[in-house]
Amino acid sequence: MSHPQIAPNLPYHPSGDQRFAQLDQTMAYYKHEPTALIQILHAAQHSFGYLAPDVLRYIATAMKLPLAHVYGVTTFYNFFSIVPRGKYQIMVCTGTTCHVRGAATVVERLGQQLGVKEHETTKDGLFSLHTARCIGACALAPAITVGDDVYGKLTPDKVPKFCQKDLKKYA
Amino acid sequence: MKRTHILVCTGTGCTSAGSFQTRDALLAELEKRGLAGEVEVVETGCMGRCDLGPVSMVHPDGTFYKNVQAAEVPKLVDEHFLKGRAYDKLLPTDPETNHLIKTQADFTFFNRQLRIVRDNCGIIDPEKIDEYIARDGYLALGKVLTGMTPEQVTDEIKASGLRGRGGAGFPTGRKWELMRLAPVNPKYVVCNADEGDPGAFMNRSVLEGDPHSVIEGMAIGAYAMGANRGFIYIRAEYGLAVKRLHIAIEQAYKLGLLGKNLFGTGFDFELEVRIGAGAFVCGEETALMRSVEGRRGQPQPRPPFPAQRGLWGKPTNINNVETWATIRPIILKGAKWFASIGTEKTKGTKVFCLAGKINNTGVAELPFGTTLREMIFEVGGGVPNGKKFKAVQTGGPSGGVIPEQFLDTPVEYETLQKLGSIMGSGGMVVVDEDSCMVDFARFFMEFCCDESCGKCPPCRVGTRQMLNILNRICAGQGELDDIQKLEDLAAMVKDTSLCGLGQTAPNPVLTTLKYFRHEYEAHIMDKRCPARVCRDLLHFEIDEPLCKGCSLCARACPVQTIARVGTQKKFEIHEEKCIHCGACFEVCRFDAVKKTSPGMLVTA
Repeated sequence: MSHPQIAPNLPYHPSGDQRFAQLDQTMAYYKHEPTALIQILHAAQHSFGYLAPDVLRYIATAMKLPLAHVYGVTTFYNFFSIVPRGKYQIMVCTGTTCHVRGAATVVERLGQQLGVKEHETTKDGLFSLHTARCIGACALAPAITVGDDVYGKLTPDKVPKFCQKDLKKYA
Repeated sequence: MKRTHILVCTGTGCTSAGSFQTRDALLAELEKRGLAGEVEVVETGCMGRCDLGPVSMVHPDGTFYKNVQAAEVPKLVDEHFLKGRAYDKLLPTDPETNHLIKTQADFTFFNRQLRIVRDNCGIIDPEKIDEYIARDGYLALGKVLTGMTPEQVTDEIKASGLRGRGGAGFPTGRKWELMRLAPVNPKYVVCNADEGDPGAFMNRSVLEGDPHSVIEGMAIGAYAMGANRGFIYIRAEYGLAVKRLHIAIEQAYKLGLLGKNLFGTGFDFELEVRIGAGAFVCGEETALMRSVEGRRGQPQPRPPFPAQRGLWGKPTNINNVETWATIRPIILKGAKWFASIGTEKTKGTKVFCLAGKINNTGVAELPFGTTLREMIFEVGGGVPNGKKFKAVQTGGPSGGVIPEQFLDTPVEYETLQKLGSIMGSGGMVVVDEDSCMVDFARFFMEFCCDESCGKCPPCRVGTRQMLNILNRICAGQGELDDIQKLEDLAAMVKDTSLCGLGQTAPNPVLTTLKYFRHEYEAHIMDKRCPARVCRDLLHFEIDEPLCKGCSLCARACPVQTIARVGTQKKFEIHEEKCIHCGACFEVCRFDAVKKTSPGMLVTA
């Protein structure tokens, strides 16, 4: 029985998942410096979608850091998630400008349309609903992002149409 | 040589409105018409009028076009570049006179501005270092490295009177001097680009529009303070800015403007980008340093100040994006020139973000001393839809609200502080009569409560308790002594919190209590929300004579509580099941749905 080929000097993950090999390369790029932990977590979340316990354990071992430290950093920052999220994250900006233009109602309506609550993922795993602190698109308030795309001036009354039209593009 | 240039804004606002498609359409159309050799399409950074996006400007005549969607491009090329006249349909109109605005120079929003920091934004392609260099880029760095001692540089910055643009307004020159004199090595310089204040996006606009100005400023600062390594700490939410920064740094390295032995003087400067991960508190300098070190971003008590013990225990200087970007013009044009702009105490210009209920949303750079009224009603074009101005919120969640009677206050650090607010990063969120000030204060308290790092109890527990009280008031369950409790808690949190987040968190509550106490009282005593915002205090009703029976409201209602009156055509709302979401109010085209906050009659 042969194992998948991974560069010999890198730590080995038994699952053979190539994404771990990628993670090894990222850590090597940062020379396993503890100060780069946040940058490494970013990379890990980017390829795995979220930071599962297994991934955190792997990073902690490879970087010779206590797991508690890695876990502490991960949970401190809003950007990192330790639970699975949708393929596309819908982020509703809840900054001041969006707030005065009705962001709270936008979140509620999106939830109704998608059948989820905040932080939940739709049944098909496509979307998860989140709120973000100001995304700095105040001129477009109320603004939301889906994946990397920004949608502006999405007032609560436009939400049903948005779900029926724009979100279909991601299916 | 091309005869004319069309500048297409590719800041975040315009790209989300489709400016990349506009660019592609322009390139294709110009090619088709055989104009590709005469007209050059340039992608620029933010021009400042994000709400009109995608915007573009034709150089050299200065014609400014709004809403340039890809579909409009053939017509635009036809009119402007072939027939040689402005395409009226895409010209902006003056909200006051209703006249078309032909050129950028006639646009009040632009011609009131004095652009020092944003001089290049919207003019050059931020992804091409050559365009920056053509506008005297890296000239200041060359001048400093080859002809000035670190001491002279620091003195120049001191003489200019520049104060930190991040919020507190500490004199930058003095901060640099402290660092320069620190005997420990190595030293670090950091750029704080963790612009977390909701309603502020000036740093993003600078990073997206002119990233090299920040890099050059940092290199000059590093030389003056004796640092050889720098970090730019930027929030992860600013994807485009991160990308452009990476490109800019790479280009600067390639040309030897970063790295080893700059300008052959033996001075080394290495610059790295560190991406944040969504924690508001990391805008606080000690927390930011923890985060750069890859740890939880929790603040530390000061002293020791970062200039004494910062990153990895070494002297560290942290300045805001805008401060770094101001260094280059000061070196090039001299401290005297810079000191001649602004007020006696505060020199130069500040980039403000106008947002909220305002006609001209966007980024505007104005000299210190400009009054709030000029900012909001002249540059900003006033409040839309004929609504009444209520207040302006400055400085994000750490700032306060300023009501109408103080609109003639000239804006600088001290004057805003006197009114109970702060300058902060320069965000200005305008609210009109439709906003409830209690709800507004609750919003900011929720923000601070969520973003409190949890290290010190006054902030962690105090903000939570204040939020509970505010939630209660908004829900119509406020009690008479709640206002007193809020004031006591606010004073405690302000005096005893460890860092700036906690110390300033009560500001929105304190200022709304000071200027809009009657709204709190209406919520608590009459159970009434005067601005008709707080849901639990609302009442919806259908005005029968106005109802046309179109059923839009019934279809919009998420809880199906709107039904026909008996067998009639008209509709009515059944109060018991109504969740006060307001969906019916929004969709009704005949103003038949009435939203009121009648207040509750106290029946004993």
